[in-house]
Amino acid sequence: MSSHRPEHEERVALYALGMLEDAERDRIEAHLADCDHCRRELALRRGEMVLLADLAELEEPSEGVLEGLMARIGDENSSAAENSSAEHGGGDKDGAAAEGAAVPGEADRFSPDRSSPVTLDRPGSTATRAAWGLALAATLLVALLGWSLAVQRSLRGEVERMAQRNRSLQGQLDQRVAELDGMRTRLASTRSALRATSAAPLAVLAGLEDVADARARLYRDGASGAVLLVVDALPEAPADRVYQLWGIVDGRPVPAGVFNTSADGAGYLLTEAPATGPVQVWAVTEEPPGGVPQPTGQMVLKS
Amino acid sequence: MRRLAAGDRDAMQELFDRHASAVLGLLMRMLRRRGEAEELLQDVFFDAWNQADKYRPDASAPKSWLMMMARSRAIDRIRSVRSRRRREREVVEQARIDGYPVELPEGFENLRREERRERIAAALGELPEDQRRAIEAAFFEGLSHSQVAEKLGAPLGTVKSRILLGMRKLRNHLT
Repeated sequence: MSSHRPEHEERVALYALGMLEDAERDRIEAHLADCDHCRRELALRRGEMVLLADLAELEEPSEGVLEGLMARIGDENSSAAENSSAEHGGGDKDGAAAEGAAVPGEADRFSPDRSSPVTLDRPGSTATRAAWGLALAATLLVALLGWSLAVQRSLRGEVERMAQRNRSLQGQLDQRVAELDGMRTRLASTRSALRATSAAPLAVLAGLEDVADARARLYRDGASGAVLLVVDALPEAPADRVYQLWGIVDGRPVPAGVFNTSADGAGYLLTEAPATGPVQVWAVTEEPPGGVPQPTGQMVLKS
Repeated sequence: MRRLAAGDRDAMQELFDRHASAVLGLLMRMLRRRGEAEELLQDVFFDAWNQADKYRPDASAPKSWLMMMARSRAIDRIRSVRSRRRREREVVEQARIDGYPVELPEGFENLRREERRERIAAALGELPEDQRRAIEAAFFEGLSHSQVAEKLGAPLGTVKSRILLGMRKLRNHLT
């Protein structure tokens, strides 16, 4: 026996509205069987439901609804009466009527007016029924085979579609992995750059001639060996041109990467120091896109 | 109803004439299709014929009994549950409906239909809109708890609160 709890009243209200389903509904129904208080609550809630139902406008049933209902009831009565006489050797009409009346709406097939044809068909009906049975079985078999083939074709198609989708997903996964690797590399570079700026600059570059206000500082990350160039007040390179960093080692310029600045004149380059030897001078020139092996353009910054 | 239980077909005709329009009105409000509503209307009265022996006059008025059965069938139709197990459950539920009473708020038993409608409409009109909408969705659309929440775009707990608060206020307005 389930004891009453306040939350039961809430569930009773929802139950009265028909809102509970499945397990919740089963639980409250089990509780209602044992709880007088909740049954009273249910009665009151359902009273409120009846009043809500009154809000619906009255609707006159169409012609034939009542007749249909009475016909169903009539057949139900016939069935009940004839079932009790069928045990005493009733003929086909009675048996057929009892069978037909079990299916509401189909009682007309078994009305007294139509019972005679059933009786007249009786001679030779066994062979006929057997033939019909075989034909039906054959038809069903053919239908089953056809359905089975169709299902197989459909399944094959589905398997192919799934394989294709799998290939596509694998491709996307490979792409994501590559992007992730790229992000990891950039993250490592950023960490390196952050470490580099925490120390004093390796070199300070000053602007030359037309860009005398430009400045740049070069930092080095001791852990990775990367160098970071931070540029201020250097105008954007002209169209189809870039800036290139050089390290002068033993009097020879060694390329160290290309960059550009934004409209506010700020820019940066994270690169590696030339491996050929210690750099005596750092310089920046204006060069074609992608940089060049030897300086060709105007020098704009120099340490 | 006693005559109905005794198999008196005239009693069925009288019951139908007296209450079919109200039952059909509820079914049409819930199902919104006349054909389906009339099909269920026949089913409800056919059930009444078959279960008249289970009807308890002390538990509910015939109309209340019919309305509860009608609503139950409509909810099942709306939720499209047609399994055989569910049909058996319907029979069980209807037996339970017969067993459990329906009690109208005090003073409503003897009111005419129009008077009852006015009072319930006024009580419903007094509710905040969100509570009224939740109750109407649950009652007239036959939606389950989760379906009401989805329709109103509100969490389950919020829907439950609105309905329970709304029903409580409705009750207070009616008594």
